Amino acid sequence: MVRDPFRAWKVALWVYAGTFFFVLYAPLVTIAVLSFNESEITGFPIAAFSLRWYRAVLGNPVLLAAFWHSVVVGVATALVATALALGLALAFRHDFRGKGVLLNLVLVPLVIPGIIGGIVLLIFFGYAEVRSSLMSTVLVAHVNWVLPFAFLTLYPRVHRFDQTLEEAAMDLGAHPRQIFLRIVLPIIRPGIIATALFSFSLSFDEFIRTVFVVGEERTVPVQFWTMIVDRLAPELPAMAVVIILISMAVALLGFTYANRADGAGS
Amino acid sequence: MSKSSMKRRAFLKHSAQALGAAAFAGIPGMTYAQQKTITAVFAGVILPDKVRPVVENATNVKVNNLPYVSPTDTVAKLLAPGGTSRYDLMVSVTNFMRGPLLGERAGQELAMALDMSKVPNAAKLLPLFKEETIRRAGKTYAVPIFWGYDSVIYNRKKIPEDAALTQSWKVLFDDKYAGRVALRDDAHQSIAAAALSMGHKKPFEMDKKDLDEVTRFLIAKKKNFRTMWTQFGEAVNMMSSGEIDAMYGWIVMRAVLQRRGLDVTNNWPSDGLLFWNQAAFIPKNAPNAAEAHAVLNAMCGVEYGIALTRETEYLVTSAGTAAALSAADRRKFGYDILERGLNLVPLAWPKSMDSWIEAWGRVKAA
Amino acid sequence: MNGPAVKPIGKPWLLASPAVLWLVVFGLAPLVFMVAMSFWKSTIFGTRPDFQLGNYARQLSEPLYGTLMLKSLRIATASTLLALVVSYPIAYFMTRLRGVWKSVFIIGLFMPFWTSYVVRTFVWLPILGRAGAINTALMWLGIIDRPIDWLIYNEGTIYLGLVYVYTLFMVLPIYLSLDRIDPRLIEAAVDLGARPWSVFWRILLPLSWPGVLSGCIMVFLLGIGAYVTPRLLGGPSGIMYGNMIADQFLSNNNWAFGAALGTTLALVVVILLLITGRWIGIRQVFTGGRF
Repeated sequence: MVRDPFRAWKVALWVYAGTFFFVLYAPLVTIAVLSFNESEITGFPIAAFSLRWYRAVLGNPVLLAAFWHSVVVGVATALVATALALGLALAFRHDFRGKGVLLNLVLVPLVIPGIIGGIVLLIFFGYAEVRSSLMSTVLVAHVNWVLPFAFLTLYPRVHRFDQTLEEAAMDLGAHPRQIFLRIVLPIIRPGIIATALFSFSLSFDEFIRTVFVVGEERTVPVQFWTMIVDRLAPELPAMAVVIILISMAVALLGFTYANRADGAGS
Repeated sequence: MSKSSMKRRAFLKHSAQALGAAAFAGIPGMTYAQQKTITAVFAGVILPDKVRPVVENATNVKVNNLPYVSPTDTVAKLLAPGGTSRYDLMVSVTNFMRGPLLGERAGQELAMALDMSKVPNAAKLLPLFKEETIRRAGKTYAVPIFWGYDSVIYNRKKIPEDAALTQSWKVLFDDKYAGRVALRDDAHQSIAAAALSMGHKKPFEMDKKDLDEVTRFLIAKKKNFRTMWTQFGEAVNMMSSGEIDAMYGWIVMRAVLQRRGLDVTNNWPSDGLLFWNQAAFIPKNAPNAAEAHAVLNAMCGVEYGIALTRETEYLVTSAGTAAALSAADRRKFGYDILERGLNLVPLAWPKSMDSWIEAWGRVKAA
Repeated sequence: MNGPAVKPIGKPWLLASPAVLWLVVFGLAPLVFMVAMSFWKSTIFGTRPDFQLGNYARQLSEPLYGTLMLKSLRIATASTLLALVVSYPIAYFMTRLRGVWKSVFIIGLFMPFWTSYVVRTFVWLPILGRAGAINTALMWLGIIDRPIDWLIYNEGTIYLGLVYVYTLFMVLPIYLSLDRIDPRLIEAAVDLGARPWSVFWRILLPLSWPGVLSGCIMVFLLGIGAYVTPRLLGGPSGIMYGNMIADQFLSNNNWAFGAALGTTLALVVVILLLITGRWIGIRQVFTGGRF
C-alpha cells in the first residue's frame, strides 16, 4: 500500500520504455520493409514485394565475406580490449601516483577525431612497413577506438565492488589469484560480459578509421560505404537485415549458453 | 584397405576437388588456373561486374581493386611510406593527380614511366585527351582512360526542357525552383557551378574578390536548396522519390534514373558544361608492373570502352570506341558533345583549393 | 564503504601495464605525430616537415573556424543532454526487470547497434522525406494534405540522428552503475516517506553518477567529431567541425592543416574535460575518491 503513490510512475515508465523501443526499432523495421522492395530505389512507395535483393546478397560471396571479417575482427577486438580494460579497471581501484595521467592516456584515442585516427595509423604503419590486413592494422585501429569505451564501461562496475569480501578472503588466508578467480571475477563477470558485448558492437560498427587501414578483407561498414558512395546499392537494406538476423541468432545462442552455464536466474 | 573404403576415399577426394573448383568458380573472378593478380585502386564503378571479364579475359590477369575513397585518398596511399610499392595500378582524377604524381622536379615522380610499347592502345586517344596525358621530358606517366561531364539532372515533367533557364546552371539558383533543387556537398563542384552561372568564364582562376562574390551569392541562395547530397544513392533516391526536381548530377545517375523509367535527363548548360577525366598510372615500384601494363592497355581499348559506356554511360578516351558506336549511340551517350560546339569547361583544380574549401565551409555554416 | 586500510588485490602497475603499453604505442604516438604534422606544410606535392605556424595562424584569422567550433560544441552538448534525458529512464527501467527479461532487453538494446551507423543514419531519409513513410502515412490518414518539409534537413534532424545512433553509449554505463545500487535503499527511502523526485535526486543520481558521467563523456566526444550525420541529415547548413577536418583530407591535400584542425579539436576537448573535471569531480570518480 505504501508503494501505491509510485504506481503512476511505474505505468509511465513502462509506457516510456515501450515508446523508446518502438522508436529504436521503427527505422529497422523500415529497412526490413524496404528490403522487400522490388524497385532499385531505396525508398517508398513499394513497387512490388520480392526477394530479389536477398537472392543478390546471399549469392554474393563478397558481402558474406565482409560479414565474416567483421565478426572475426569484432571478436578479437572484444577479447583484447576487455582484457586490457580489466587490467586497467582493477589497477584503478588502487591509489597510486600518476593515476590522473593514466586516465588522460586512456581517453586519448577518444579525443582524436576518427578521420585523423585513421590517417595517422596509415602513416604509422607505413613507416613500420606493416601491410594492411584484418588482424594487424584493422585490429589495432579497432582496439584503439574501443579501449577507452571498454574502460569507461567496466570501471564503474568494478569500482562498486565490495572489498569486504576480498578482505575476508585474505583474512582466511586465500592467495590473491584465488581471490581474483573465485570471488572477484564471478561478481564482476556480468560487467565483463557487457563490456565485451559493447566492444564487439563498437568494432562491428567502426567505419572511418577502418577505411584507411583496411586491406583486401573489408568489414561490413567499409563494404556498405563502398557500395553506396558511387553507385546505387539496392541490396543494402537486404544486407542490413541479413546481418541483423545473423546477429540475433548469435546473440540468442550466446544468451542460452550463458543461461545454461549460470543455472537458474541471472 | 577394403574396396568400399577405397571407393569412399576416392569419392571424397573427387567431391572435394569438385567442391573446391565449384567454390572457386563461384567466387567472382577467381579461377582454378594459375593467374596473376594485380592490386589496384580505382572507383569500382569503372570495372563493374559485367565489364570485368572483358579486361580479365583479354589479359589473363585478375584485378583486385581496393576500396576507393577519393582522389585525395589515392594520393595519400601513394605518398604514405611504402605507398609506391604497394599497388600495381591506380586510376584517379587527372587534374588532381598531376602535381603529386610528377613531383616538383624531374626525378621525383611517384609513377613509373610507362613502357608505351606495352600500351599500344594509348596512342589512339581522342584529341581532347591526348593533351591531358601526364608527361614529362618525353616520358608518359599517366594515360586518361575515361571521362564524363557534370550538369544538371532534372525531371522533364516538372521543368521544361526548352527554356533557356533550364539549359543553364542558373536553373539551380533561380527562385522559381526554390526548395526543389539540390547541390552536391562538394566545394569544388558547387562553387564552380555557381561561378559559371554568374558568368565567370574561368572559375578555377578566380581571385579572392570573385570567390567572395560567389560565396555571398551561394549564401544568399542557400534557402533554395533542399539539401546538399553526399552519396550517389542519396542523390538518385531524391530525384526518384520527387523530393527534388533538379540537382547537380553525374551521367551515371541519369543512366540509372532513365533505366527506371523516369523522365529525367541532363541539361547542356550554355554557361559551361563541366567535364573531367581520370587517368591510369602505375606506381613507381609496383610489384607486378608487366601485368599492370597489360591491364592498363586493356582499359584503353575499344572493347572495354564500349562495354563501359553501355553499362555505366561513362565515356572513354579511346578514339576507337567513339568511332565504333553508331551516330545515334554517340549522341545518346554524349560522345558528340565534342563536335556539337558546346561550351566545354574542364573541371580543373583551382589555384587555391584551400580557399575554396573555406568558402564552402562559410556557405554551409551561414 | 571502502576503508583506507583495505588494499585491493594485485599490483596496480602490473595490471595496467599491458594497456599502458598499447596506449603509448598505438594511442599516444599517433597523437604526437598528428600534433607534429600540424606544424608542417602541405602542398599538392605532399607534406613536408618544414616547421611553420601557418596552420594555426589561419585558424585564428578566419572566423569560420571559431564559428564551426562553437556550433559543434553547441550541437554536441545539446545531443548529450538529450541523450541523457532519453536514456536515463530506460537504464532505470532495465534495472527493475527481473530474470530472463533483463537479458532480453539488454540484447534488444544492443541489436540495432549491430547495423552500421551509416545505414541507421541513411534510413531516416525514406522515413522523414517528403515522400517518406511519415508523410505518406499522415497524408493517407488525411491529417495533412501537403507533405511536411521540416521533418528533415535541419539542425533538429542532426539531434535526432546523433541521439538515435549513440543511445547505447549512454544507456549502458548508466545501467551498469544503477544496477549495483541496493534496491533496499530505495525501499527504505520510500518507507520513510520520500517522494519520487527525492529518491531520484538524492539516491539514484548520486549513486549512478559515475555511469552518468561516463555516458556523457562518451556521447559528447562522439558528437563533437560527427560528420556523417550532419552531412546526411543536416541539409544545407549541415556542417560541423568534423566535416571541415574531413574535407582537408578527402577533398584537398592539406594534411598539415587537417592535422592542425584536429589538434585544435583535441585541445578544446581536453580543456573542457579538465574544466568540468574540476567542477563535477571527474577525477574523483575515476581516481577512486569517496562519494
